Amino acid sequence: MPITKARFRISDYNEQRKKSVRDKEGKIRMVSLSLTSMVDMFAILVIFLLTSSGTVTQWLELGHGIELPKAKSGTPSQRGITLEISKRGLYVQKKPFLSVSKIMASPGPDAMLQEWLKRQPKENTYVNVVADKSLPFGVVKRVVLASQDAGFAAVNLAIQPTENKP
Amino acid sequence: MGGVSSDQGKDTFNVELNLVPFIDLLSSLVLFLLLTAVWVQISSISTKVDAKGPVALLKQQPEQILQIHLSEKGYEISIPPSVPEKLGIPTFLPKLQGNFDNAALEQSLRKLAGQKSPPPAAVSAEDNVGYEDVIHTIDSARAGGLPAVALSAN
Repeated sequence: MPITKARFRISDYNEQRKKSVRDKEGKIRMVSLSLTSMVDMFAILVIFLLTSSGTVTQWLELGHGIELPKAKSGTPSQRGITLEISKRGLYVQKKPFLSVSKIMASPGPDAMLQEWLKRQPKENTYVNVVADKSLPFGVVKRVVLASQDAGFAAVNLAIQPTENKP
Repeated sequence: MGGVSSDQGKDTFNVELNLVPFIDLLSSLVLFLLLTAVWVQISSISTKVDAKGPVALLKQQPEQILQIHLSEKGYEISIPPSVPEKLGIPTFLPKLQGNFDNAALEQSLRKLAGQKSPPPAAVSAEDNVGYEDVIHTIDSARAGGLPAVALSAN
């Protein structure tokens, strides 16, 4: 059935807009903005962000210029106490705690760190060690030992996953 | 704005789609996704000290563990007696052009993975060895097919 006469409120809206922008000379000056391309861009951006977002929440944040070592085998991080070790030193809860030289000065696990970890609730049974890849292993070893001696059996070393090569 | 118009003689109609609310919705969605996006994926390698894991066994029965020690010169591998000698797993892998030979280590450990019950492995290193090298060693050991690879911090 053909449409013989159509009445749309949107057309009335346009007529009202024309009246409102009529200037002193009685001429209508309207500038139309084509938003179609912007909508296309937004749609593509939304699709990209939706596909790139993971389903697993990430509990770890990188900071202090830490570059993680890369590895193929790894499991998703778990929530717990995060110890960040950068080239400058150890950060606990994002606050500077010890310098690298002080950590290396002790032959075994660091006593200060061990004491601090013992005071933490054991309900968070994971300790996440986020260490820079260029650090000597001795620094990470002492932090891991301090965590294990403080009663945390599960110490996770943060890595940056790489794709498995065939 | 998007629109369609048609002229059919005297009867005309205009259809215009108001895209403003749609753009508002999209911009809110984009802002939310940008704030919550994860740009760098982080995983982790567990060094859990299990009662029956490699690290615990290392203290109780070290002869049953395959020990991989990183020194300045290269890999020093301690092979348990349960591994037959015919497999030809080297006890020492020197560095290759100043770097640890992860490929050779992985290739050697693949021979163990084919065994009935491959032994668990513990990785240890000297203090001045790079942390990244230790991680790559654990990675290579797992890629070589060993079921249990742990970091020995002792």
